[in-house]
Amino acid sequence: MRRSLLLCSSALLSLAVQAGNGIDPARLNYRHAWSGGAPRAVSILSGQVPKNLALTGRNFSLGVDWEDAMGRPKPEFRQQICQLIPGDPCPPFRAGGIRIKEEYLGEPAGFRPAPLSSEQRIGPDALSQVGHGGRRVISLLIQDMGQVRQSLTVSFNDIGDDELRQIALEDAVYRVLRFRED
Amino acid sequence: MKRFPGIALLLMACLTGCSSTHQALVHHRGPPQGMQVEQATVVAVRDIRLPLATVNYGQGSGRDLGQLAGGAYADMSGLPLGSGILISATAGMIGSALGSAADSTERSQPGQEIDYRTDGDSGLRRLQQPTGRRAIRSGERIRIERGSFTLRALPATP
Repeated sequence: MRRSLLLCSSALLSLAVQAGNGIDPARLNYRHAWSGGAPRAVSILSGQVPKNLALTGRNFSLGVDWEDAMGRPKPEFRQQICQLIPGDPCPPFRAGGIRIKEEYLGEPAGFRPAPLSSEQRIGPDALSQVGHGGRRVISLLIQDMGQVRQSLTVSFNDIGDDELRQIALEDAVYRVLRFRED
Repeated sequence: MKRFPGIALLLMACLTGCSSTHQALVHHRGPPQGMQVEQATVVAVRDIRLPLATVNYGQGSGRDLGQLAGGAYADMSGLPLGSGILISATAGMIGSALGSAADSTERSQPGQEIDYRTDGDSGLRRLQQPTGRRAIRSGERIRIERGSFTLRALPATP
């Protein structure tokens, strides 16, 4: 009896952990063919959000938003997150949902790190690992389930702002939200 | 038995106060980009003090710890709720004042201001950095490493 209970609870826990990822990897279509050659980039994440242990799997019932540094919505990137779960209503953000806020987009010299590295913020020690020749950077504050993490994506090629946002979405946002586990 | 929650809370607050070094996660797209390295000669070195990269948590932490300690004391002494709140608030204020005083003390680290000339360039350049395991000396050959966000001088020969 005890053994079957133990097996049952292990199976449920394992299901819950798998449901936490919740996203079919086939839907994470990374863009590999970029105009002007594949850009080199590095993404630094202050941390990842905790695993979602809900048995029902991931959904966007608490909403998704993506806004730039001026607070203007970026529907084309919001939509890419919403499309990860087909048929999900994906309303605008409310408490506990997913919100991506662009904190900085520009040249590396203009980026100001936090005084200290933490689970929530990127500090100067993380920046010392970034090689020479960064052309453009984007820093995002990624909020999910009330937790905030910071990402910084640096491109070493001359690319447009939306291309940089796309790289940040694929390499940073998907990983912070644990949709991508590589 | 009554003492347990207060002591546990105090212990938790103390453990929370212990800081650990946080490592950020790094993911490369394409091959990692290296540092730009230049050889140079040091022209002059000055010892300076550099500000430490810290966050002033003293005031907030002092207030929280004071409140916790005051609450724990009132809990252990079996005082009525009103007195407990008063003691906790007073201890919080004292802790906040102590933390604020700790925040205002100057925190700095030893550093060096280095004037150097890179090979093949007649111009003089300057950088400031914390003093490493081995201090850079005047006239010494050094290696300048330049990243997208950082610039540092290292002895050419360790």
